[in-house]
Amino acid sequence: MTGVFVRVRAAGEHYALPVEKVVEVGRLGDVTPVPGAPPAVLGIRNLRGQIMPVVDLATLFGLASDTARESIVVTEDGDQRVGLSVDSVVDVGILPPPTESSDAHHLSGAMLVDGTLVGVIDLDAALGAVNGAQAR
Amino acid sequence: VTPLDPRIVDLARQEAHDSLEAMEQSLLALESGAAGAEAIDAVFRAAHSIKGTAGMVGWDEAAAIAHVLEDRLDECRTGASFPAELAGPMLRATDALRQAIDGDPSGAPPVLEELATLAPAADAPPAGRAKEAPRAPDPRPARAASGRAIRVAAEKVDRMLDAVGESVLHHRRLQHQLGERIGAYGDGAAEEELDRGERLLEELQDSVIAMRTLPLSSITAPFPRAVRDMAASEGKEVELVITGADTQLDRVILEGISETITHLLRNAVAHGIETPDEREPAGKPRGGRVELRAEQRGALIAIEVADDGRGVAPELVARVDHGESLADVLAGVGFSTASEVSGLAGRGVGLDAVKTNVERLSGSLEVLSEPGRGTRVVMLLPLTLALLRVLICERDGQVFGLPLASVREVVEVAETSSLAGRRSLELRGESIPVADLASILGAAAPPLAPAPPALVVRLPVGAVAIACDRVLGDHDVVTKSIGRLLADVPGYLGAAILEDGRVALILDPRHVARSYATAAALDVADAGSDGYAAPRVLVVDDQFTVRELQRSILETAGYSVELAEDGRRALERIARRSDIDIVLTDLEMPEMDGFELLGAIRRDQEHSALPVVIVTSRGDEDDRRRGVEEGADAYIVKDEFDQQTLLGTIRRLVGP
Repeated sequence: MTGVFVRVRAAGEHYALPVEKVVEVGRLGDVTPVPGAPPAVLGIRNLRGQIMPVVDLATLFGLASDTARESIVVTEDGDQRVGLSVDSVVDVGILPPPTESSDAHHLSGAMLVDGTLVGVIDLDAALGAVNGAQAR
Repeated sequence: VTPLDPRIVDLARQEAHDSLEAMEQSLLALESGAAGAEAIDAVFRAAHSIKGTAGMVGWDEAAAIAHVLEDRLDECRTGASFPAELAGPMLRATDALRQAIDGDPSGAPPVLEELATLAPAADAPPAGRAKEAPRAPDPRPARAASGRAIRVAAEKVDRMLDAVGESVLHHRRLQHQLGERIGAYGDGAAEEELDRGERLLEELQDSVIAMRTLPLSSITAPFPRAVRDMAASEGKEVELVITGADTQLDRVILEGISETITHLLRNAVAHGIETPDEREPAGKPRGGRVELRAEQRGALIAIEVADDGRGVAPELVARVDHGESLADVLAGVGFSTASEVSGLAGRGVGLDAVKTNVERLSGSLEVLSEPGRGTRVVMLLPLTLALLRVLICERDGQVFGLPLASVREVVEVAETSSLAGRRSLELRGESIPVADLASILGAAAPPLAPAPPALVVRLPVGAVAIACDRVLGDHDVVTKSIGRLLADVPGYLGAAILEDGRVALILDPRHVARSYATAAALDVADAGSDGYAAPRVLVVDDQFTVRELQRSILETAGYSVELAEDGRRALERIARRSDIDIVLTDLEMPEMDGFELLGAIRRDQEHSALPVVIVTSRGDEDDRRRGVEEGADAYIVKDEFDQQTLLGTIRRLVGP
């Protein structure tokens, strides 16, 4: 299944999100921490007058990372808008169908693009894990 | 004589205008011969209703015209015919009526004269009234003339209010951003325009809020009858006095409290007021008195139901001395059943529901009682729900808001005393626990400066002073949801965007109430640690390095730490002395693993409430689920393990 994807880098690894799920990308900006929130939640952000939770992709995927988060990918799934903080946005373009299967539950598959392994994010499953990873 | 509510006058005016319109149409139809007896009836009814309204509101001239019209039309009705020559004078009479209703009665005398000449046989109109000097015209005739009500769906007004609220905030942000630049250029005109814009927006906001507000009187109509009926069925004599009925309230709040007020009135009549035979020996008048009182107190509306009955039982009032609020005692907190309360005081029935309802409307409940003298139940409600007035405070560079309705006052925490590890300060003879805002939220933050400011927050149980770095004053904010993803995070009503674009989390006072109990100790720099026992943490892990790592982190943070190598040893330690405050346990261990330990603790009656945190390298879903199902308070995966997560979790569960 070929499709248009937004490719991002998180903790040095490459991931892709179906473009239909992405509303916009931008600089990470100011994120207000929410004490008591699950560890993967970076906080909330003001996006033109609307409040949106921001989830750190690397933390969510359990990746140890000390790279700087510079960008945000604003996703929309149904009526839920969530920002994902990533190292950077690589590009937007057509990716070949996934060739590799992945046993990570938050990925729907993976493919090799110019020698780099790219994981396709299953947004539903990934966001579902935010609260699953929650203490309590 | 009480001046009439201008709203009622507006309504009357509008109703009269409607009647006039109907009257005109029928007259025109009669004149053209297109209508018969039913039109005469219609004109008669219109005249009759205008007469009634005008007489009530005090439009004497209009009442006089309507009276004569009514008489003429009655004659026509009897004769079942309408002489066409009547149409002209009657239409002129409707014009005069309209003028009179809108505040200009000068057209009345000629019209009355004309109508009198048309039918000399008729009774003389109340001439004395008609000849009265014209009254001063209504100061707002133009507005009144167009003063018709239109029905608008409540949601449309709400949407409008949201948009206006956002515009006001947007303007403030703009002002904030442009303010300095304009100042630097000395551009007075631009500055003036900005100010003008602000005034216009505030005017707009006020008028939209006014669209959402109604007087308390709009819901009080059934109360006197209800109280009368309740009293009659109880064999009591009760008088209901309503004061401040013109107090304006948000429509949503009004709708929300109507039943609550009925409930409080019923409580007052059924359980507060004594029977006449009980009252007389006590030196009270036979009839009891229940008062419903509303008044604005700053940014809040106080609605009070007071009675002069027997008051709350002294046993219950006595409990207040033990740090509980009377509202809380009566709402049944700490009681096994509501009937226990009702048996003792006869006041608790459903007061928990009242309390919940008031809190749902961002308000708070107070109960004051004097045994033998009566009880006062006070609901403190916000002026409007569309905008929440919050007090903004700052902790560790982050801003938070607390609903103003829940904040009693702001104090400086200069001197505190300590008991059982809890810091408190004295405020007019009352001892109020002090807690650090960061501790309440389980957030890591540098210690507070000496003598920090604190917000004294009303709790279901007394009050708590929440210390922060700075208090930045009150703001009207539009509260927004922080998203479905964070819906399970306790403690927040939402978030608001401030003028400078910063996002303030709006704290839920009820959560503050729950949290302070575990976080009451205050780490003010001058606050020493006399008598303060640090929570004792039991770390259970079979790996030496992990135990030691956790021990060093925890001890650095001020906890006292004990270690155990497996579940069985941990259980023995817990059973030996009940001084462990929290358990951190690994899952995979020899002898007894983490799940078994957790299960054993939960089954142990004495220690079943002990907080248990699972710290493990297993991150898989099933284990997490099982941990939660078995009753773990938190679950931390070692590979996402960091000091802040660990300390934040422990602080949340047992305090610093």
